[in-house]
Amino acid sequence: MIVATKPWVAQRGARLVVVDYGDRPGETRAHITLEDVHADGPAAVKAANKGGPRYKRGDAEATLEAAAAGKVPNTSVRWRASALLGVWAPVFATLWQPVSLVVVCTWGYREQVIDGTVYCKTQKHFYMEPQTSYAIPDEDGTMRVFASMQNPGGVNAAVSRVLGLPLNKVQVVARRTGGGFGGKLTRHTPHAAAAAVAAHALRRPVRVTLSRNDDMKTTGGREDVLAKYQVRPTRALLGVPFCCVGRGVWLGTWRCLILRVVALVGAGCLRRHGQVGRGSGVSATQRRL
Amino acid sequence: MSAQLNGGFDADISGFATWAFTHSVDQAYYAPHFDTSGEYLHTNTLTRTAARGPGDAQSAYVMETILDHVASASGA
Repeated sequence: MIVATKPWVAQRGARLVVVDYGDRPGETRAHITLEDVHADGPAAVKAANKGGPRYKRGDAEATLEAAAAGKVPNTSVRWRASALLGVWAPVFATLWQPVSLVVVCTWGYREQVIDGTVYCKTQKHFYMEPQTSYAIPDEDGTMRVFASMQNPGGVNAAVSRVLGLPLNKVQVVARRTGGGFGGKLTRHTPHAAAAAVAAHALRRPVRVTLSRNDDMKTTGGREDVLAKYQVRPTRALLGVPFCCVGRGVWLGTWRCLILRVVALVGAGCLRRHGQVGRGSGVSATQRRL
Repeated sequence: MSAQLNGGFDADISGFATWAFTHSVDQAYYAPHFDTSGEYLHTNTLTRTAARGPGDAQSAYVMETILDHVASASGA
């Protein structure tokens, strides 16, 4: 750790540090993206895989196998009804196709399995205030830590662990967090602990404030996702946008919009579920994740 | 659907993000037959961490992309 009385002195000293990671047996090259992991084969994927949950509803495997075997799908009554509900609005709006043609094409559309891959890249945090921690040695061997973060309990535990102090000997204050967006939930902890260690060793206040570049380099961002999917839309779902815009007519925007309306009607999302009423309990309020 | 999340060198909250992604990927839409498995991988890069709506934002992007694909395929 490099500590200086001026920020620019500390930054120049930090640039002189050379880190040698050495040889990592078994790894031919660094895995930065998910594609890098897959490029090294199934063994690399298996070694890096940390598992996760599975979420099932119905029997998707049997549905896909039935489509592959060319069997007539069992379109549920709910989807048929939702498709018809979704048909009427665009049909009456356009009035350039007879209703009979719409219905015939809906039921006559050949079902197919659509597969593909989606890659959603990472996203950096965009708070204006960088990670900042300020540690002050206090009386009786206690440590006061001011930090811009969203998790005072995590800082309390981390600082007490690195200094070997009990939890009640560390006081953590989040006077101003600034923007966080999750970037100050866990990633501020190393900086707060570093400030506390330096302050404990030097017996004087120490502040750690990242530059914008260092903050963007070290905070990480959200998880990027590689998803492979197989979809078998029912005839009712696929037939509606097909009929409304016509085969061979490139009207992608309308087709996407109509498909979403039909899918939402099928999910029951456009229904009104109830009314807001007053009760004797605690008032319900705004929340966000 | 099988989805993999890049968790970076450390777990951080990638386990929760994977759970949130898996359980919210159908978004407001309904499919009678639905099967999604999610897992996160360790890589040699910065650990991924919490960001507004961990897992949910990625699932929305993925699901809307799938709907675009289905819509375009319906008129092919």
